[in-house]
Amino acid sequence: MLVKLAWRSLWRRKRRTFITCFTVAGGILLSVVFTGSGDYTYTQIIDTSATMGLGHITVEPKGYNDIPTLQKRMKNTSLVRETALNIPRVTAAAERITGMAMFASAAKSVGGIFFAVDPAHETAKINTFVRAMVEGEMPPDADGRKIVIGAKMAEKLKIGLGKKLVYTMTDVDGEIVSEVGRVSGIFKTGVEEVDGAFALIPINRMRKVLKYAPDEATMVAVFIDDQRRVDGVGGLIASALGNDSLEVLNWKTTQKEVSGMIKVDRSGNYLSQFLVGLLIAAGILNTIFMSVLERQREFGVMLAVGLKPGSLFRLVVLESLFIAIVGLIMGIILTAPFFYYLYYQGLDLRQFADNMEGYAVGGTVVDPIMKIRLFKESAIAILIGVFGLTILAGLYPAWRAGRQAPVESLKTI
Amino acid sequence: MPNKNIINAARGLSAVILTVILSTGAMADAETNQEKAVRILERVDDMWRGESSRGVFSMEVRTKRYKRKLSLEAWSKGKDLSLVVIKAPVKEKGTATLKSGTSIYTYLPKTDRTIRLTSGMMMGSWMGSHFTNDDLVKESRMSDDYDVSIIFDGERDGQMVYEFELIPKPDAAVVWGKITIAVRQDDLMPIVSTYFDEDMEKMRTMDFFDIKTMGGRKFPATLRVTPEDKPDEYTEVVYHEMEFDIPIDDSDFSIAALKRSK
Amino acid sequence: MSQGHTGKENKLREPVQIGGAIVRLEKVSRVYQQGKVEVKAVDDLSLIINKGEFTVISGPSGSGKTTTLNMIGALDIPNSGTVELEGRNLGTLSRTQLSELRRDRIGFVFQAYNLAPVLTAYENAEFVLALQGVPAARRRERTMKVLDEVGLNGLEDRRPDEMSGGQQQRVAIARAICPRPAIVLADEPTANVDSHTAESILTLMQQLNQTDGITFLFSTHDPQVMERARRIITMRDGKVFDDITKSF
Repeated sequence: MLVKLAWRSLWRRKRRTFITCFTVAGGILLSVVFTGSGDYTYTQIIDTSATMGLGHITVEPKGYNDIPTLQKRMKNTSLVRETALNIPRVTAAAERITGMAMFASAAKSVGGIFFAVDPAHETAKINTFVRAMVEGEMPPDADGRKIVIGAKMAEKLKIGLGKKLVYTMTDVDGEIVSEVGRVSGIFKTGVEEVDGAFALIPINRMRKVLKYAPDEATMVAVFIDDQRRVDGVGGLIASALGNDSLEVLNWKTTQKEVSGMIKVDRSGNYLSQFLVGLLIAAGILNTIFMSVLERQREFGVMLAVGLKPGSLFRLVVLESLFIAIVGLIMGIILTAPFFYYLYYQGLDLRQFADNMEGYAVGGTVVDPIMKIRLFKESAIAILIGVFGLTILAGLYPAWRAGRQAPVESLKTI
Repeated sequence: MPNKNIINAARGLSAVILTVILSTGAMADAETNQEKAVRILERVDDMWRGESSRGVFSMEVRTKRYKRKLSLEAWSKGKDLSLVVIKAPVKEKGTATLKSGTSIYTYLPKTDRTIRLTSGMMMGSWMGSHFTNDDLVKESRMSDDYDVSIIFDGERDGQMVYEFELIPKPDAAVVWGKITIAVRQDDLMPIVSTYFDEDMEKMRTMDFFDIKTMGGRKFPATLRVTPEDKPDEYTEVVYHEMEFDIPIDDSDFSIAALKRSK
Repeated sequence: MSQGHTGKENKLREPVQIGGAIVRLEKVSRVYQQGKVEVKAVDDLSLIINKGEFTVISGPSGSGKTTTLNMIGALDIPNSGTVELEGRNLGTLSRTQLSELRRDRIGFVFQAYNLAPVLTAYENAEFVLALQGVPAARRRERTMKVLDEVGLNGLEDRRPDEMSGGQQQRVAIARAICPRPAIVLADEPTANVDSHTAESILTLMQQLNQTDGITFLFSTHDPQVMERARRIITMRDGKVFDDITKSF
């Protein structure tokens, strides 16, 4: 009876209700696009940033993250790598040494960051630089002198494939050491800061130069299938390793710029969504409140003939619930084409900004095509938001309707 | 130019080059071209190398943006220790660079602080010049890093010269593709050394002039480095005073001594 | 609505007979605050309505007749004095109990806009039964029978805005009597209909009074209604000015 009454009352003012439902639908569209692009972009940024050297999860010597130096190193890196690979959800792991170095050619010298890697373990999937290789190839082995540098660095140093350069850094004893490398590959991510600073060097060669033992490195980078699971998987790795001298960190700690940027962006996103939600809630409140005021007499009669105030409250809440449901259905219909387009095609942001060949966030290369994904959690959050706000907006009018004395309402004709 | 002996800093200017230059010597008979070249260069190196040295020199740096001139005093002992202190201009007076082994320290009197140069700063310009800090530190013998040969032996511009070619060994941590050095045959004074990249493009030139005798030794008192891609720029070092084999203590090449130097 | 009732609710539904009186007002006063002025709508009023009466409370507007009716209908609460319905002192009941009392023992017919506009004639008529939680089948049986009684056969599916004023009042009457109340309170039921329609509505009410023994209490100054009433209580300034029982 209440359901019937609520549903029909809603459609007494078809246009008003339709508009209200439409704003809910619009809110859902905005929310899905905002959240969905966030879900996609953040995952993309996180995954890309993971492939820029540190992985989703990094196993490293304790204290390394606070003050990274080449002196801090871990032992048995191949064992650590094997251990990590046996953990569920881990898709790849790689021993790496990373540090700062000076790269010099006959023409110039530039400061940069090297990743000493085992070419056998590096794939396009876990390594941005492999993925972005535009000339040449990865070094054939972990012992040689072949190295891979960014296009911008090559340009600055005025060298190309097959040419040599000298890299200089501080070894484990604090001695300044130099080694010659020959360019076997050049990568181009499109982000100048990245292309101008990074280099890949065979790990065993680097171990010799730095006077590391053959099984030492500064970290093991671990990759997993779903970036949201870093905490859980990290915990499993830590307990599998059971080594107090090691630390298992994830991108939230190791890539502070990225996680900070995502946090800021996400809060901004949530705030704007919240404001939109608030506006929509105000619209719903207005609609329902007006409809309650219009029906005071009707409510008075119903209360007089024995409807309980609580039921009246429920009636009005039910009406806002219906607005939410209808708004949701309309929202799904409205959002579906946008979602479909953004899911499969994506929006090429380059048409809105010039010079966006490479686009970086917190030093991470980002695809300029904006796509959309919606995590289950996000979808649930949006649903909760829609129903929560709608019902919340209905509460006050419902309370007002429920507390009015029948005799007062009856006077209102 | 006995810079190896003088100040490693100044020698560092040209690191390898200087080493090479200083080591010109007499030639033996029945040896290969390469053996001969190495022998000459090393002998000269030893011949000019003093146990210790002290020198006063000036350095003029000219770039597109500025021109500056520094007066410096330098001490050295063996091949691992050297100290350079700025005397003028007043603004920079007391600023000192200490080289001990492969480390370089800079002392700034204004802030009374000593900075140890990190590997990242090694390729940075030394005191704004066209020399890098790394130029100052490079210690290896040229024969470790280069294959040396004589590619010219005859008259050029009215004087008899040797021209050496230094090709870096494949594993040597050397950026150059080739270095050539021209040396006068009669007194083994260097004339010019030229640096090439791997494509045999000329990258920089170091000219030596103004041969004088100081502290009992004969060497070019002026050397000038010109980068090939910026022909308007150069760094010129002029030696004004030199002494060799003076008494000097190892402890004079310490961080404490750095501070004292002001 | 559930059909389960507590003992209390069941007790409310059973008529409690004390003599012939169905309504008893004793020294009832109702004062309204209108701005800074106190208006005595009902002043020390004592009154008894007996079972089976067909009675009009009459008087000029402001005389307190509607207030009196509202207090009897548990819609308004007196400042002093007691209102008893079927021997139960309304002052001792909670809001919920009053709500249930109205639902189970009192039928209301108002002067206009009596019905839920989004419900059909049938749905409006069965509204109170639904509130009581009467099962659908029994509800349908009873509602159809009453709709037939009030002459709305065939109009069950009409919405209020598809019916005439008279038809709407008949639906309101049907809704009032479907739950078999002890008393039907009708506030100006003929005010918004033409005299011909008023006549037919009153005839219907009179029939229900006579055949089903339902007590009717009107608040009106419509002479048409007073003509049919057997007892006319005239109020003035919140007090009973006259109380006449006709003898036929």
